[in-house]
Amino acid sequence: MADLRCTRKPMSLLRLGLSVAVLMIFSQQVMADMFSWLKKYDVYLSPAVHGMVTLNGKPVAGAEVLRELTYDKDYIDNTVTAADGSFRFPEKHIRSRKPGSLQEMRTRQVISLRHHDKQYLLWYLTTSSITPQQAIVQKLASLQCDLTNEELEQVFTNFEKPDFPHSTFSICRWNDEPVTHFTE
Amino acid sequence: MPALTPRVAAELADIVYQIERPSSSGIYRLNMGNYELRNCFNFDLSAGPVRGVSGGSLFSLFNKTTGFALVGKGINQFAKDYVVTIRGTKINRDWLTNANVGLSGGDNNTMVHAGFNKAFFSMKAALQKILAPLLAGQPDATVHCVGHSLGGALASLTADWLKSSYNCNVNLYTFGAPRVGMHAFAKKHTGSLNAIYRCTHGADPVPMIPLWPFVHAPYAGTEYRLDSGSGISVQAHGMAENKAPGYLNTANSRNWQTLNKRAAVNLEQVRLKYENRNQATFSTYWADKISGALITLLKDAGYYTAVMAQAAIGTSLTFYDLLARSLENIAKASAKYAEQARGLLGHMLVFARQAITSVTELSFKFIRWVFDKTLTALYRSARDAVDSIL
Repeated sequence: MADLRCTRKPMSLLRLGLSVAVLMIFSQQVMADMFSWLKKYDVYLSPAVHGMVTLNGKPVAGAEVLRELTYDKDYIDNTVTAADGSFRFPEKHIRSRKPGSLQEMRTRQVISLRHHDKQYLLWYLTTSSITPQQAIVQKLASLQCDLTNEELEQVFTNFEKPDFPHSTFSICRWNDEPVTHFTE
Repeated sequence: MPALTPRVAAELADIVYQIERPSSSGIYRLNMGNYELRNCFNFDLSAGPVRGVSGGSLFSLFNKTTGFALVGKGINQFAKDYVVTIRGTKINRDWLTNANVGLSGGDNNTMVHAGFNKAFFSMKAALQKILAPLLAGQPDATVHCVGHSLGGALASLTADWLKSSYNCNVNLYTFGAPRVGMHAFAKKHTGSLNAIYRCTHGADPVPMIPLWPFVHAPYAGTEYRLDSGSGISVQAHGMAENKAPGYLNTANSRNWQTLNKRAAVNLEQVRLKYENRNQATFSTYWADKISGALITLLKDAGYYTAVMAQAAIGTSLTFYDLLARSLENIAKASAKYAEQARGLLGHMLVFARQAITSVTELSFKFIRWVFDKTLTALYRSARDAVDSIL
C-alpha cells in the first residue's frame, strides 16, 4: 500500500475506491446470508398481565407476585397485590440474536404468588413462539385466582397453530371457553 | 411390539427442550398440552427436576444443572415399554464441523464420531443408573430412543448401548440428526436395532454432516423425507411447531406409511461432466450428488477399498489430504479418470459458490483447496444450524 499516494497516483486511489464500492454492492447478497446471524430480533416474552387474587372470594391484599420469564436468561419482575386483590405486569419483549441463529429456543412464562409463606402457581406456560399469540394474550389479561383452587394443567385453543393447543399450569380459572383440565 | 407414531415421536423430541432448568424460584412443570404422548407414556415430575426420581415412573436427568433427557414409562399399548428422549445438547460445535475429527470405539465395537461419543459418555452413567434396574428383569421390554439434532446422534449411541448391554428391543427415532459413524457402524447399527425411523427435511444441512465417509443408518435403507424443501436452509433444521417447516408439523401423522420415503442416494453411481458443472447449486441434493460422484470415481479407479481402509484406521494424513492425494494419483494414471475428476471438482466449485470454477490443474494442492472451499461452504451453514441448539 506504500506506493498508493494521493499526490502521485490520484487515479489509482479513485479506481481502488470504485472497485471497493463495486465489490461491496455485488457481495451484498452474500453478506446478507453470511451475517444474518448478526441481526437482532424482537422476542415477545409476555403480554401485559392483569390478575385478581381472592381467598374464598375475598380480595387478598399485599401478596407478593413474581413473574419469571426465561429465554436465553431469566427476566424477573415482581409486584404486590392492591387492596382489591389486583396486580399487573407490563408487556415484555427483548432484542436477541437467538432467533436469527435459529436456536431451538423456548420461552417460559412463570407467574407465582406467595401468601402466608405458601407458594401458589398462577401461570406456567412454555412456547416456541417469539411473537404474541392471541389466546395467551387473552388469558393473561384476566387471571381470576382464588387461592383455594386446585392447580391444574389447563389446555386451551392455539389460534395460530390449532394442532398444538397451549397448556398452562395454574390455580386460575377462565370462563371464556371450555378448557381441558388435567390433574397431575 | 408397536412403534411410536410419527406424531408421538416428534412430540417426545420436542418436549425435551422444556427441561433445561427450573425457574429461578425453583418452579418446574412439563407442559404437555393435548400431546398424544399422554396416552403412551407416564411423566411424573412430582419429586422435582434436579434429582432423578428413584422408584417413580419419570426420571429427569440433569447434567450438572442442565437437563438433557427424559425417561418415561409406557402405559396402555406401550405398557411394557420405556422411552428415552434426548435434547440437542450443548456439545462443542467444532467436533461436529471439523473435517478432521477423530473416531473412537462405540458400544457396538465399531468406530464412531469421537465428539458424539464423548458427549454420550458424559451422560451414560446417569442413564445407566435409571435404566439398568428397569430393564434387568424384563427381557421383552422395548426401549424407544428419540432425539432431534445432536440429540438424535446421542439417541443412536444410547440405542446401541442398550442393545449391546441389555436383552431388550430397541427402536430409534431421529429428526434432523447428523451422521454418527462410517459404513461399519451404520451396517451394524441397522442390523442390531429393531427399527430405525430417520426423519429429515430437504433443506436441513445437519443430516448432511459430518460428510462422507460418515454415512447414515439405516445403511442402504430408507429415510423419511418429511417435506419437499430444497437448497440449504438453517430454518429447515427447527423442531418446534412455530418453525418453518418444523419437524413437529411435518411429522404430524399417525402412520409412517403416509410419509414420504427416500432411498439412500450415496449408493447410486454418479459421474459428473465438467461442462455441466453450472447445473450444481448449493443444496443438500448436490451435496449428496457430489459425495456420490466422489465414491463412484474412487470405485471406478479401484481406490475405494484402500481409501476406506486407511480412513478406518486413521492415518497421520487427515482424511481429506488422503482423498486429495488419491485423486491426484487417479488423475495422473488415466486421462479418462482425470476428466471424471475435473467434472467432480468443477461441480464442487460451483456448489461452493466460487467466482471462478475452471479446473486447469489436478495437483494435490489444487484438489485440496477445492475440498477446503466445499467443506467450508457446507459446514458454515451447518454450523449456523447447530449453533441453534448450543
